[in-house]
Amino acid sequence: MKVTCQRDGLLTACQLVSAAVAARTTKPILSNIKAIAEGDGLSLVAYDTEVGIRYELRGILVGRPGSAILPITQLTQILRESADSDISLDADDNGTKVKAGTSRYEMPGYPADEFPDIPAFDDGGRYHEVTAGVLRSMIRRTAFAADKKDSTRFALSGVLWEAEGKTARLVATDSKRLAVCEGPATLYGPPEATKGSHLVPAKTMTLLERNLTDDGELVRVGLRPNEAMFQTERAMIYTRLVEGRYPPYRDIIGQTRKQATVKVPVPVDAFLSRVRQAAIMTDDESKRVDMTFEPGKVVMQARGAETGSSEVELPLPEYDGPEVKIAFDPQYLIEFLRALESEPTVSLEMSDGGKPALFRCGDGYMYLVMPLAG
Amino acid sequence: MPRIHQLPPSVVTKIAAGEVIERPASVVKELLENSVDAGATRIDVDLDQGGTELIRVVDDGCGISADDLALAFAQHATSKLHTADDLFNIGTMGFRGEALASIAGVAKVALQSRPPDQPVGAEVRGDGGDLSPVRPWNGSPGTRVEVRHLFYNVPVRKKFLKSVATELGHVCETVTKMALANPQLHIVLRHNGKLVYEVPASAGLTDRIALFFTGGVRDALYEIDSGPGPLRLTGYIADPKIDRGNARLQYLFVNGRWVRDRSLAHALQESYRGLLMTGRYAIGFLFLTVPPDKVDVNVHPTKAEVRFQENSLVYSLVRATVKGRLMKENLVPQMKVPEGEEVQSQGTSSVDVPGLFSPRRDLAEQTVAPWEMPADAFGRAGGMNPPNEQSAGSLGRAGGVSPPSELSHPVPRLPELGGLTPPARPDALGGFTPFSRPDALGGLTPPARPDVLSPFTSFQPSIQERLPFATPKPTPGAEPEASPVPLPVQSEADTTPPPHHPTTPPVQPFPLPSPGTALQVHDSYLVLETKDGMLVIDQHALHERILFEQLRRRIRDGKLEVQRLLIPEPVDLPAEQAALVLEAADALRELGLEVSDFGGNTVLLSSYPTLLGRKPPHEIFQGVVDYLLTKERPPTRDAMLHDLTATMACKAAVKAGDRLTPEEIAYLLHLRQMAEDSHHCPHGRPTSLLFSRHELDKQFRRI
Repeated sequence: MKVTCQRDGLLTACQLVSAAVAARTTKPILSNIKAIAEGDGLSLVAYDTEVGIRYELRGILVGRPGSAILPITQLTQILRESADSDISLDADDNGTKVKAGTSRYEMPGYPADEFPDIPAFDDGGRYHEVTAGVLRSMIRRTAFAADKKDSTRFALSGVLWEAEGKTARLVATDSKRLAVCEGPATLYGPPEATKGSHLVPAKTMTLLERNLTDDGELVRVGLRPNEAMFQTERAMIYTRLVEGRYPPYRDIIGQTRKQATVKVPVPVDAFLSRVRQAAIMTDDESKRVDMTFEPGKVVMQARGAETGSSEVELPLPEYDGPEVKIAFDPQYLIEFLRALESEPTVSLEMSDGGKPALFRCGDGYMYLVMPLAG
Repeated sequence: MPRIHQLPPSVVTKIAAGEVIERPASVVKELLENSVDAGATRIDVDLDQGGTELIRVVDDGCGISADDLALAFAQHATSKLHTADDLFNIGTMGFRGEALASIAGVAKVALQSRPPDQPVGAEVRGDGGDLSPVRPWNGSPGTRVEVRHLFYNVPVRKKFLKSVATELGHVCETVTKMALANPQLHIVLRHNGKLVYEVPASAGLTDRIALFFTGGVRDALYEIDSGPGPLRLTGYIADPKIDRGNARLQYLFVNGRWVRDRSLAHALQESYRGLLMTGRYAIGFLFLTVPPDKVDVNVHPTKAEVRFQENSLVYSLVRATVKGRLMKENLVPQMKVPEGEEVQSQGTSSVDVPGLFSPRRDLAEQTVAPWEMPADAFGRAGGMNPPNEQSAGSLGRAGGVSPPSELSHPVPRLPELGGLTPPARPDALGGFTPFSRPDALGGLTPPARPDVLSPFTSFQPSIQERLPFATPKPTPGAEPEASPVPLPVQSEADTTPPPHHPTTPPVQPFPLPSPGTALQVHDSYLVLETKDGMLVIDQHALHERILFEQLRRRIRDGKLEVQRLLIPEPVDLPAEQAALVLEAADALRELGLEVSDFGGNTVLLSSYPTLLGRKPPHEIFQGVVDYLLTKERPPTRDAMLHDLTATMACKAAVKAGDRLTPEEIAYLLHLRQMAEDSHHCPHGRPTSLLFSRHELDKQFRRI
């Protein structure tokens, strides 16, 4: 294949697909990407056998159609270092030649057929559509809560994806906190016959989020028993799903809401800044901020054996309920409050220091945190 | 004067029962063995209240004919043995004819049986030794034994029974052993009407292991087989990566009988040497086939031990088979530890210097202490001093000989070095051939760096000064920890000779110099003069110890912070461990681990201490369970946090290779005086070594 294209466009494409390039693999070909040139387009394919992406660039000058394997690390570096606006690639099974301005590069090649292909988007008659802006905010509000540690419950490392009625819902938990976010969606095709849960790996979520650039664009999502596909305007992302049983999150939320006795409206930015101030005095041994909610204010206290202690106060003029003492790992609060982006207030529902606290933001977003005891 | 008289039978059975029947699990064991001997293919075990109220064992074996039924309860009545010679050729599980008699002596027993070829069966009931007449019984073929109210007539024994959970645990263990030993057996265990285990006949050994000890264990198993022969070892061993904190998962079966054998357990553990951390135990399921006339099973009341005629043969078979299998896996690249009788493996390192060492030395070389990593030492020595690679390597290994031989060995030979080459290592002189032993040549080449030697064997501050003094006497404080602390291997060209300064009066056992007088060598060790010698301190180990103590004090005083889980984590455990954990639930809550019953063998973990948050909760929990199993009580907070604290301290401490300013050195030495135990780091390595003045004088032939 032989193509000439704009450098910055190709660089963006390379950076987007590189998240799906295998970092450590026994199959060396998978640490490259596959490029296919036909018509006026160039598709880049990266696939680490768990997550794959096919990204299409339009408006390319194709000199000779065909496909080739490109070494992504070097290609990205060339694109980044070069100052020329156009770049041309001439690649086949034997190698890749890159020409950028007066610079020439030659890299060895692989047989293009050996690169495993990812399937084309196939809605199978059942899929749903979400706008990119909504989807991005849903991902940002949930994915951080998925389990990143090596847990026995593998299912928790994924994000649960559900679609029913007119909503799509993402759920993530690491068993210490739980985030649920809903957004409007349009469903097509018959409802699912079997109630299987679709657990999307966290890595796929990151890749998907990066591919959501244009807020208005519609993203098509197809969920299947063991795999899922996402089609944006330019990219098709394919992923295997995480296997396992997801915990009954609805029950947990339902129970928390039933138990909740107090409801505190909290200003997001001020609360975030106070939590971070209080958390300065936590240390490796003690990651704990004690909060005392009382009429008109909340007082936060932290103490580290070596670091010292802090006491931070936030006025809550709207709160006139009973005194509640509760302690949190500040990290769990900070991650959540950051994900809220531009929301002005969030409502905090809780009962006492031994039961989970529920943050609610509008109708669509809920975040539960288990307090610290002892 | 008391008169001698014959004891009545009821007393005799109680005495016998005292030996054989200790708790419900012993009853289950005896009854299961009878069923297996009867050729049963399916056995159902039902318990009530851990077996204290009811034990019912039903099998489909060959049954007992009505005429023999009453006889079965008589002492020393058996169908499994005829003459005394049979005792030395036993193919059945039981043979003494004691079990039923003993059980009947301490419980209410109903024995119902029908041989398959008989139209009806018969039953007989026993009540503390008194037998009812034999009556017809219309059950299905096989034997059914019901034992009710165990120890009802021995209140003392009954008092010694533990809680239901503990007794159930022991029964589970018995059933586990039986199910592992007889893979063709369908075995069902119910407790209070609830199913505990159901092991179908179709479940092979690996499936059974998965059932009893979780799939994680099964997936890491390697099959072993010593090959056909009269003496044969088969079974499975597990990859060292899934070790345990106790030896509970080491099962040994001899001719289908579970036994305990310290020597074979040692053989298994030895095979894993170098692959497991100290205090960790391998997992193994070993099945030994020994000709019946080569093993005596009649040495223990409950037959939990056997005696082998050729014990050492069995030992080396186990060791060689397990070790050979592990070698095949190439688990650790540097695993070429030459040990014990494997003579050929040590030839590789000393190939260039044949005949240099006396046979005694060879022997010492082969005995490598468990903590030694010769391959590592070899590589480092080689990199530092290429021409001496071979000899340095073998020296390195010599340095690792187990403490007693190392310490005693060179000393008697000191005189014979005489005026030859005082600085050379005394034990390098076995056969003195200058060109193959450059290090013995003194001035010609820089002395072969005994960097890799145990610090006891040699210490050398700088090349220019060339002050190697060999083999100081170990000081009392340092002796128990003879683990080698390799000196660093970078070039010491810029190091100046140690300026020795006067010191303060001695404080026992390690006299401390006034602060600020230590010299840092290789950016790793602090050398300071003391009144009667010279002290070498490992800066990392010392700092680690000091930080460890500070941390521990803080944690001990503070409140234990607990993170509760929104979604409790289910943890699968073997039945007896689950019972134990639930029993200790209150104590575990004190440690921040909240557990509750989830049914079956699963417990729910719903909180963990945040301090240990770097580890996944189930790992913390497994560690505590292991402790619980060996110590029969939960660990104290200190014990649980010890490891973590040690790791935190290790990460925060200055490292070998960090250059310290004189002020830092002075402060570190100041802190050393305040430490509770400044002699060993939390992992047990020594922080400092003393080279006594006397020893220095001796090495330089001053005395």
